[in-house]
Amino acid sequence: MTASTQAPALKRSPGLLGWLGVPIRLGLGALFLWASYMKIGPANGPQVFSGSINAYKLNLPEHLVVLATFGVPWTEALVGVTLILGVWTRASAAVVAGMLTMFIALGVSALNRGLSIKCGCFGDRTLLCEGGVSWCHVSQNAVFALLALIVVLWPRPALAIDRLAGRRCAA
Amino acid sequence: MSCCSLRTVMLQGIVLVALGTGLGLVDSVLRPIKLDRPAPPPIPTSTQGPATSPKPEVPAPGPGTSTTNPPAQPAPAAPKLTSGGPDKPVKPFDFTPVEKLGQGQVTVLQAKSLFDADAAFIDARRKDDYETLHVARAFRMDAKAFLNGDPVTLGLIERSRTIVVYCGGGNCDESENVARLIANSGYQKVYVMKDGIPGWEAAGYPTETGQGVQP
Repeated sequence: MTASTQAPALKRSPGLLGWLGVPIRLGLGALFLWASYMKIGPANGPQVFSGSINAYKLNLPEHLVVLATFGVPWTEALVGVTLILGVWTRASAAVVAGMLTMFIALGVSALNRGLSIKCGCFGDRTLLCEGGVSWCHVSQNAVFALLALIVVLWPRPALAIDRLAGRRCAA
Repeated sequence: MSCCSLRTVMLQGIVLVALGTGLGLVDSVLRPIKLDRPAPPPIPTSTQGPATSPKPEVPAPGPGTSTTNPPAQPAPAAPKLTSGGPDKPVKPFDFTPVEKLGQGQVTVLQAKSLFDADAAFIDARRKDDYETLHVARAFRMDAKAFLNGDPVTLGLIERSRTIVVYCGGGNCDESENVARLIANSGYQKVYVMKDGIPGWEAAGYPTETGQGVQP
């Protein structure tokens, strides 16, 4: 009988990194949920966020601006929920890491072009970095991306629905 | 045996992104947005000022096209400073937090009336943007220069003089940052021209190129 014929997930300990991933998952999940709410929760949220996107002067076609305006926050909300619940944990963390990498690239691009604009990451609010887009925002996102990578790379998340469901990926 | 292959993670990630995008598309139908640029104010009939430099192309304030344009308003013969209504005076810039920003902002038309009244204009953009085009007789000062202890330029403006700060329009907030710093220095009459140089130029108001002048 091989390991693939039974569900050893519950028997194998998550390990230190598996438990370390719990606060990381919960923190990043809550962060992304809050970020998405600040973007699309208020009545004028999407309108304001579209302005933030336009401020980066990417010369995107109108339909892509609309797609980004709504697609980014809803994706943030979805992966926020899946991260907190521990569903498709590693994939959720990978999406988070990918989005943060995109935000880092946008921030660096804005800084190199000398744009003095608001981040738009959390609507009109800020988290740790005040003012317009700066290297503080880039560093902040880099730290979050590294934390997400920890969750991506460790296959046995603790306190995750993935484990309770006995999926092979949690083993 | 390694679990959860990279391919599985990637597929799940693609599904998550697709789901999020799909939810976003549904929301975009339920809550359509307008991707409009600030409409330039109408050119007043009594436009005056120093000679203008040859106008370059109007820089686009951002991507997207107008889906709707507010109707053009006729220029008043004697423009008054208003904020939200014809009888409410514009409050000079105060120390409100970012969430309440909006006070002290003037339209291009209102800024022009201040320009005609010899207000000092400050360009809060980078040096090369400023030298490409700026409001006539405006000089440049960004927040970093101010924080690095460069009050010399500002010291050349009397504290009783009105100051209008602008930058690139759109979501550019550098003008607000500089205006706040100036207001903190004791200047009482500080305004922000929210539509920035794109709105000013689109209205055909006086502009210059080059290194600029000191007041």
